[in-house]
Amino acid sequence: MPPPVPTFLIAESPNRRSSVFLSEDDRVAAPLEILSSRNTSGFDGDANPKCGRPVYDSYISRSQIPQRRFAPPVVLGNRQMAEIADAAVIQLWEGKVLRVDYELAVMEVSLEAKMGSIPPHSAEIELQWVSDQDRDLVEPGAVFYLTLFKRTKHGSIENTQELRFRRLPAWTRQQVARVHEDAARLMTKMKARPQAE
Amino acid sequence: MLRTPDIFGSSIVALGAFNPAIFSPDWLEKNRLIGADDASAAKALSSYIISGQVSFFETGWFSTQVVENQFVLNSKGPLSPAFRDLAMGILSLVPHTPISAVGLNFMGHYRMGNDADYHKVGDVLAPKSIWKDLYSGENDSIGVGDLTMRIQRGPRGQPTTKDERRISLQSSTKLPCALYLAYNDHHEIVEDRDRNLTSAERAIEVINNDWESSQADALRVFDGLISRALEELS
Repeated sequence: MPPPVPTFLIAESPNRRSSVFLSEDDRVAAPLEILSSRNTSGFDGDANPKCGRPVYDSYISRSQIPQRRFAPPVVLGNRQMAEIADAAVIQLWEGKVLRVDYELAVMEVSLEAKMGSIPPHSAEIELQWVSDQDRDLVEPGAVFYLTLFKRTKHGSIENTQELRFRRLPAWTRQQVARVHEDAARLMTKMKARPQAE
Repeated sequence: MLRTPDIFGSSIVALGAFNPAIFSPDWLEKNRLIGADDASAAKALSSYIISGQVSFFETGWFSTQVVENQFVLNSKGPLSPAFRDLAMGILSLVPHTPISAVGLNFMGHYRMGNDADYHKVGDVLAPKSIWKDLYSGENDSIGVGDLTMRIQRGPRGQPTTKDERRISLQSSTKLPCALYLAYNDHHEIVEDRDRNLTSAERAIEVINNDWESSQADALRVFDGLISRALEELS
């Protein structure tokens, strides 16, 4: 039996509102071809002796998907989430730019491993590994993440790396207020210099 | 050493009252939370949609979906703290949005070496004896579709907080002969009047304080479940 045509699905459970993520096929009914992630076979019993190859039990063509239609929240089962994830991190370093040499197009950095017990060390990284959109962030003190990871896609596995600069969140209203409070406190402690007689 | 997942991702979900129309790639770029290339890529995809009721767009490293009562940020590719920073950055742009809950979610796909190990995990975590009594026909087979356990603080039936964790186990739909494990770290959010924090600012604080430790706990639990289940029957 074909599944119901998806509309905008919102994770709700009878007992509580849920902050569990929705699977890719639960997401907004954007004009996409959607595959159900529901696996028709169980595992760990005799149900699936062939070791659970992914079974997409339905296919919804583009014409079946309502465009920009909104429906009330519906109760969902716990479907598999984050289907768009396709990689796993092998090693992750948090780096800090110490110095930038534009002539040689390299940046001197310190690296601290976020996995395992590798001691911090320094390195030189060529600027060609920094994406164009992050180039303006390259300056002493800037923080970046260097990730060595494996990606599983279409049955093949590739090992590769990614360098992504940290983009700091904007200051919150509360943080700004705290700065003002601190400044005001400092001001109260300041005294005018005594005038020379 | 912990077992390494073959695929690992995260999503950060906030429940509240959102205005989806403002969540756009241009808005994120203008506030320097993403770069120009990411913004252009998001707008070029056919899945890009911004309206009063829903916003959805994706880049090479995340996707975001906002409806009126839910914000979802979903990782793509390798997971790094840049993903957490982005979630905090987005919520910091809407500090007065009422937020009632935050979910820090992690999921891993673990390839098992063989059929026997693959089935062992489910057999140990969800024993079949009662089920086989009830469905004893030769043509009946019984297996786990979805197993979810709920972990609350406090004595049974008397949780001391509404925060809780949910761990789910399924068969992977992405990899053959693989398990899918999901970890939901659910936090109820209320504004903190003593510290003059709005609920959105509390949500940011929770993400900042707990995302990395939840990730570590998810990896610990995923590894623990698989390892202990395999040891049980060996």
